[in-house]
Amino acid sequence: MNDWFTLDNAAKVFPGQNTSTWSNVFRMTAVLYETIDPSRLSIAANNVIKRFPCFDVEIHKGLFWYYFEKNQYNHLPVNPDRNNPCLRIKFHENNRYLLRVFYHNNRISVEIFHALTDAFGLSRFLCTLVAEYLRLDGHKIPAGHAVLSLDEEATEDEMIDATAHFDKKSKGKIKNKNSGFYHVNGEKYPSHNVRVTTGFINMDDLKKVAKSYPVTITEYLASVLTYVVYQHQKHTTNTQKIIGCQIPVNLRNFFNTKTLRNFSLCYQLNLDPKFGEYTFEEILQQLALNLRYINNEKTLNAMISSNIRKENASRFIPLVIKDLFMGIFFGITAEHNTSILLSNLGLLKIPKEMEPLVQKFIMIAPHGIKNAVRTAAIGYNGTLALSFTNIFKEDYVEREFFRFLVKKNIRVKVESNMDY
Amino acid sequence: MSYCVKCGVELDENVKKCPLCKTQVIKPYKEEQQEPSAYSAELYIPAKYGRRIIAFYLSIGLLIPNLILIAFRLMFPSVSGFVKYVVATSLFCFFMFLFPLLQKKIHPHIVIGVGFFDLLLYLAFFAYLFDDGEWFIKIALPITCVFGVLSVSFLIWIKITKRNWRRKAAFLFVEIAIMTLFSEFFFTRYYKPGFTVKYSIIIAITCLSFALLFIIADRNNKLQNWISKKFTI
Repeated sequence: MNDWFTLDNAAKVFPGQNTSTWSNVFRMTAVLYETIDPSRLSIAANNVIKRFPCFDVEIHKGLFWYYFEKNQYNHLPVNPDRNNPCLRIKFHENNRYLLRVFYHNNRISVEIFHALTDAFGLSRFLCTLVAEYLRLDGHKIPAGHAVLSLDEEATEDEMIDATAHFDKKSKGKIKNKNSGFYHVNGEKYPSHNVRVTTGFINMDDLKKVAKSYPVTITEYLASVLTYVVYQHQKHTTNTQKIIGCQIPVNLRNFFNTKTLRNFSLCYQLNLDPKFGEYTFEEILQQLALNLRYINNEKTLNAMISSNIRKENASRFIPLVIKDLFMGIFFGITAEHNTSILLSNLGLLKIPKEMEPLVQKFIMIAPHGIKNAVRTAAIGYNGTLALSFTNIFKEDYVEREFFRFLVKKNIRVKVESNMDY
Repeated sequence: MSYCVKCGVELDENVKKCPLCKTQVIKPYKEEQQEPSAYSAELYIPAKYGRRIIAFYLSIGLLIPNLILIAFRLMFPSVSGFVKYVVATSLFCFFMFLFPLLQKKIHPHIVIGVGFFDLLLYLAFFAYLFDDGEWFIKIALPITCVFGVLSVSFLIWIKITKRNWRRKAAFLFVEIAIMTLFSEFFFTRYYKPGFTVKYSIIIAITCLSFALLFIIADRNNKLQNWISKKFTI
């Protein structure tokens, strides 16, 4: 591996957006059955980080772009957890690592800056870390599924910028609406306070209900979220603004690559209340059909090529100017065209030997600036953990979303980080 | 096993209220072993930095060329008459913009007080440099005093009770109206004897109309919604 490498296409925007109000840091947690031993976790973390050279880095500024270099500290810190997750990672802190490892009771959490990787990459790191931790505890855990082997070195395929690699120079253009979207917000908590509400949803019940329509779990959850936000707008304001649901999609399902860096794009599904009164079934049909219509390789090629064109157009602009404009532009347009974020990693598979030792996994998205509805979901062992991250006191959406599921006879267990 | 009776969701054994609806969880049975808490109670607040350091570096950046110019002035007094303007303007900018940022905690009253005297001294400097300073006594000083009084009154008004943005906007429009009227009064009194206020009345009426609109909107939900619909950015 080279001593340094550039950020991938998606990652190039994140350092410029890195502020105290928009961190681009997301978290994944593994809940075990026994209390975590911090010293053993520290050894495991420092063993595992060497297997992930694309995470074992520090970020630096060049004249035109940021770049990554091998981390000089060679020691990934492990800290007790905190109540407010997904805070901004400052580049010079944490031994200059762009990921943080936490422990609390029986939970191991990893937070990562989005410039390094997406949810898929973080899931591999977390599962490999948990596996190594359990091995140090005396358990025999083989590599496989989401657990990478520490005996093998990282391959070139794991390190490539897949967006640039798979660009087919498509000339297709995706037109997105950029204004007139509804945002659920309200009074904010004091600075740096974040409410995380996680619902553990029974997957069998959820699959049964989704199949009855029939739609996929992602389509069903996106529709429920859209319906709840639609009801919120109807009952609290006279406006009829568009409700936009943003759904990241893992491009590894379409393109053959094992990259551990960013390789995902976002679909935008819109519902315009000006067309009339919608029932839940109508919303479900519209969103599901819309998603199936755009979810194909040609649309993704067009989106990839568009992103590459934008990167090429800004190649010769100095980084100082790029950062300044990114900050200003993002300050004005952040979350402008989304009302809801639903990031569903899907079912996480780990080796059978590890399953009796791991209770559940949780994924937490970074909080928004304008939106109260930012969710992340991960499935494991018959349960889908869906978490809301919210800096607003307004809790209508979380409440009505889970109540909606319960009314459909879907079993849900809820927990939150705010002391009730 | 615990449940919320309103939401129907399952809850951890150690939860006292439902996280979704805050309904109290009633446990008639004796609690046995509690589940470990899901989240840490420690709230992490990152250290704030940046404002004072940036202000310090900007101050140094402002100081260095001034020192060079002062040295230049001492060496070549005949060709460097412009230096006094640069130094005066730099001092004005420092006390007006950078001095408040260097404070550990920004006190609005100190900012307004320092800014008030800074502006007065800057205007006085130019007034007495070019002429006898009559315009300073008759225009600059009273207008600055009115502006200072209005700023302090705004600060006191918002500190008494928490005001929403509509009331603050209404108050500001009223202050702009008062400021405009006083400004024209002092200008016309200096150039033409006798009290004449003409053009500022138009501005004052416009501002007072906006203020009235915001006050009415504050008490009327329908008007609020209309304003949100029509003027949302």
